[in-house]
Amino acid sequence: VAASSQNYQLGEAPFYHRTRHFAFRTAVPPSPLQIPNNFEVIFSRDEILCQICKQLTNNPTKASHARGWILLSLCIGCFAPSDRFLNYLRAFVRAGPPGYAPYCEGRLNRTFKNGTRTQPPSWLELMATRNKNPINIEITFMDNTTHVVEVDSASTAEEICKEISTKKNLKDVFGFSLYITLFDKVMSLGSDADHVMDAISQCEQYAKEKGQSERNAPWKLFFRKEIFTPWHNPAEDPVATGLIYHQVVRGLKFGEYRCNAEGDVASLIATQYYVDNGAQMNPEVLHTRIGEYMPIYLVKKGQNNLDGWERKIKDAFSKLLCVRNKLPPIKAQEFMVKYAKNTWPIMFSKFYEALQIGGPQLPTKNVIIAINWTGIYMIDDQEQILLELSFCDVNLVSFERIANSQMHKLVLTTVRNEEFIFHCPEAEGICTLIQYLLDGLKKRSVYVVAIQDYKHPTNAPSFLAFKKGDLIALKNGLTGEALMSATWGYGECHGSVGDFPTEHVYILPAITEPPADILVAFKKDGVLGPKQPTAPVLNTMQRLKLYTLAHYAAEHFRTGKKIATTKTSVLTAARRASREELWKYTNEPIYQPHLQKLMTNEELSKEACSSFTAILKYMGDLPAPKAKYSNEYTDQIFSAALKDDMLKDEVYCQIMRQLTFNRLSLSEERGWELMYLATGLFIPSASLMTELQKFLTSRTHPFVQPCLKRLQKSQKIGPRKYPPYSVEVEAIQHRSMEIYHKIYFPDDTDEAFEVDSVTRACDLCRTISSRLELENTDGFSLFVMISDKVFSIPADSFFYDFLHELIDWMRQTKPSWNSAYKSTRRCVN
Amino acid sequence: VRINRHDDVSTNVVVAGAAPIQAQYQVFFMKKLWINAVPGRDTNADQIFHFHQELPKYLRGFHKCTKQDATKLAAIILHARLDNDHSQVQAAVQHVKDLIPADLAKAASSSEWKKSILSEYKKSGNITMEQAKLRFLKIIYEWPTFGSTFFEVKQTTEPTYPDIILIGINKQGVNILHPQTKVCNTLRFGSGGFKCFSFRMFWQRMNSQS
Repeated sequence: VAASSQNYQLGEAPFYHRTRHFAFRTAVPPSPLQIPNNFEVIFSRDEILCQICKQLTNNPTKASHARGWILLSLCIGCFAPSDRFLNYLRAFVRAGPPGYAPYCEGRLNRTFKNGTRTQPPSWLELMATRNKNPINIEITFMDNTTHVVEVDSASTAEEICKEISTKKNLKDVFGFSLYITLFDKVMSLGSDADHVMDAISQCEQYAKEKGQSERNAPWKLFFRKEIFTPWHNPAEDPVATGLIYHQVVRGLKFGEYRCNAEGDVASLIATQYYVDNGAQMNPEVLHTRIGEYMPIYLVKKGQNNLDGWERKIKDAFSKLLCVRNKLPPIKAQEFMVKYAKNTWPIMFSKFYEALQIGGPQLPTKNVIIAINWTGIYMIDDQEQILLELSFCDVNLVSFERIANSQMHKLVLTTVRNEEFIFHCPEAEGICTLIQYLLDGLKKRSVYVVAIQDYKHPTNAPSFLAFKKGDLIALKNGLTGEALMSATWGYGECHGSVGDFPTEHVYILPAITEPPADILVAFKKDGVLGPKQPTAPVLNTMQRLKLYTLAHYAAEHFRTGKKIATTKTSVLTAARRASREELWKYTNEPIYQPHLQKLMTNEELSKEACSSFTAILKYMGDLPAPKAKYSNEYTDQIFSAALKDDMLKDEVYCQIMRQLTFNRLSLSEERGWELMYLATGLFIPSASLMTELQKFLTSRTHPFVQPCLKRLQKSQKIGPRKYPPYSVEVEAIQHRSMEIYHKIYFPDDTDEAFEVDSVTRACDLCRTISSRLELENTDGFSLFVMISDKVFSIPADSFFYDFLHELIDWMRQTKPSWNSAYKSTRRCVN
Repeated sequence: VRINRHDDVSTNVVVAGAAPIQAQYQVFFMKKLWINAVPGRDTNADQIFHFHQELPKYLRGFHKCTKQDATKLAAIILHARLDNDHSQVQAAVQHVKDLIPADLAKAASSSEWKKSILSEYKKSGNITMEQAKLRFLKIIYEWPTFGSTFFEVKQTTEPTYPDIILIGINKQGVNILHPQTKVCNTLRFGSGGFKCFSFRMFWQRMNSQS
């Protein structure tokens, strides 16, 4: 039954009339093969199958046996047995006569894949099953071409749309749906899981109702555009544009799409003429063909003289942009598609029947929800628009499946905090569609609205200041998509530009500037307040298992500043909540170190704070320019720690803190990069080492095992002297955990060798010697040739330490070196 | 005192015709200390490292070498380059500079060098590249300056020495060489028990001993 609720007619025939929804599903006389399809009666489905199986066991009558197997395969093609019965049935089918066994099993698998049908088998299926023939159906396109597809009982609209799209080389598939027509009825099958055979079965039943034989039911399947996306661009896919163009042309002719102004009609016909005949207007051709072009409803019966229209069309033709600029015909088609999208949004909608059960009262409870590229409309059966919501109005959409019912709950929440609740068989489909459009709009949006006042504490002019409800236009090519994974955005508000924290704003699902009345809604209290943790990746139970520094912090961290409890915070666990928790992620710089033991040393305290600031910058939690060279920020983070063991602990605490309850996936990933780099540099003190190992092993990130291995190696070999070399930083940023370094030999050959963070020159020498099968490594050494100089790497020096030191030194002594190193001039001074 | 370090490494790269440096740096693996470098003991080390590192030093003229030896070695170098592909010998011998020590280039005319090298080459018959490289090393190995790292040093304190002298350090000790005559003054390690804190100190110490 569900299949018939998205009803909509297309202007296919002269008997067009404007009833948008109808039912094929008026009282249907019980078919001989009427199959119980209530969800509660799964039991009776098994019962039916059992009965058939029983009659097929030791059945002496040949004809009865054959008919029994046809019946069984028909049933299997419509519904699957319960899990309990599945294996028995499969075994029974397999042991069946060779003519039916593989055939039935194939159908069983298909039904299992695509789900239970809602209608009894069609006559078409019955015939096909009797002869075990494939079913071929014809799909008609709007340009009158056809395509034959092979289907079976389980075929869905999605499968067929997919096949057609591949055949037609259609790329922009969104919004193309399968339609079925019969007499004056039209029904959309959508492009999802609806079964095609259900629709055909309904058509046959409807034909029978009208006193026709089901075998002659003149149903027809079409493939047409049902809905546009707001960001639809006809230039993107010429195949899609061609199909839509023909749909519009046909709709114009039969009056499905009507223009308000005669001038528009003339322009559209002129455009068609241009597509068909090119830039040369031949009055003769127009005169003979005008009958084909004119909308039927504009021509009176027996009217032969269309001179007035011919004049108008010729006039419009000369004004066409395509004609004047000699654009290719495809551009004319694109123009037509754009015109249709903008002029008849409601005609390109998906329609759903729904029953309102909650929220602000609409004039009637039974509504039709129409969704198109401009928004969401509630319509009554007289086609009166009861309520119109733009996508900007919608805050949340969700659905709830109601067990043992065909009606499910749909909840639409607006930015004004109104909550519309509906019962609808396709709650999930509506929800998915709206969500898809909202997401697509937000990704492309350059408009955000403040949901909280914001002013940077330092009043620095590089930060934006704004009030709740202010509109901010993103700048520098930033879009909503980029903003979703960032902690800082950049945009314009009240004529000034600057950085702002993304958690203070809401991305508006709009491609054009949203109207002011939307913004008013955001100014009100209680509407979209400070963001609740959205979509936590891990649930609470999983989070509890994650080891944190909470206990370690109680003992070793300085006491956090007292923070005033805000109104919104929950007053449970009051004692803890009132203190700043120093072991949890933050995007604020610190002004004191985390470790108590560092507090007394002013210099180390300073180093600790600046390394934390560098961590915030590296992870994108603080606005910062792109690193001048890949290891700029990592140098700031690790340099001081390499010289002092207490700072080593502090840096580990800082990284662990930023990986604790960090809700921003991009920031968290970068945090893991820092953890990976740190573990290859040095280990913390023994007590923190235990914490670090627990911290790592309680997490599932792919870096955990590599980090533990690196810790082990660092422990064995000892700490590095320099922060990670640029190659190490770049490698882990590209998720590469193996670095191969090219080594040259005097005989003009070279080879690549793996070098990791803890590889010393002597380790590499040994690896090379054994690869080259040298007798021993005595007297061999690694040299770095840079600019005009050659340096030997001391045997016990870490390979990357040496390179880092060298590059630093080059940078300091020869500021111009970066640009000059390319010169091959050798100077001996 | 100013030290101009003529490292064998960099010279070698240039001789080998390394491509213009595109990366910021290149990492080489090479012999640094020639303590156990006895030709013939480690075939791969001879073929990949010893020959290719010793040849440029030889061609720069850091060793004391007779004209006769130079002719013989030039023929061996040709063999090492050509690996018994005798058809290329006429072309290869054109670059006399790549075959004989720089300080001997003027000892004879270019055509004389070519003539004597070619006759030496023909006399020696078939020698593979590997054999040639080893033969070269075995001859050089007999010289006191084998396996040295050379430094061109400008000295300012000792009037009896020329301004620029050549210092070669190898397992024998420190060889102080006259840049032209290569008259060798070897200071053996352990003999005087000196320490090399800095070049200046080392220089003074050496002065006091001579």
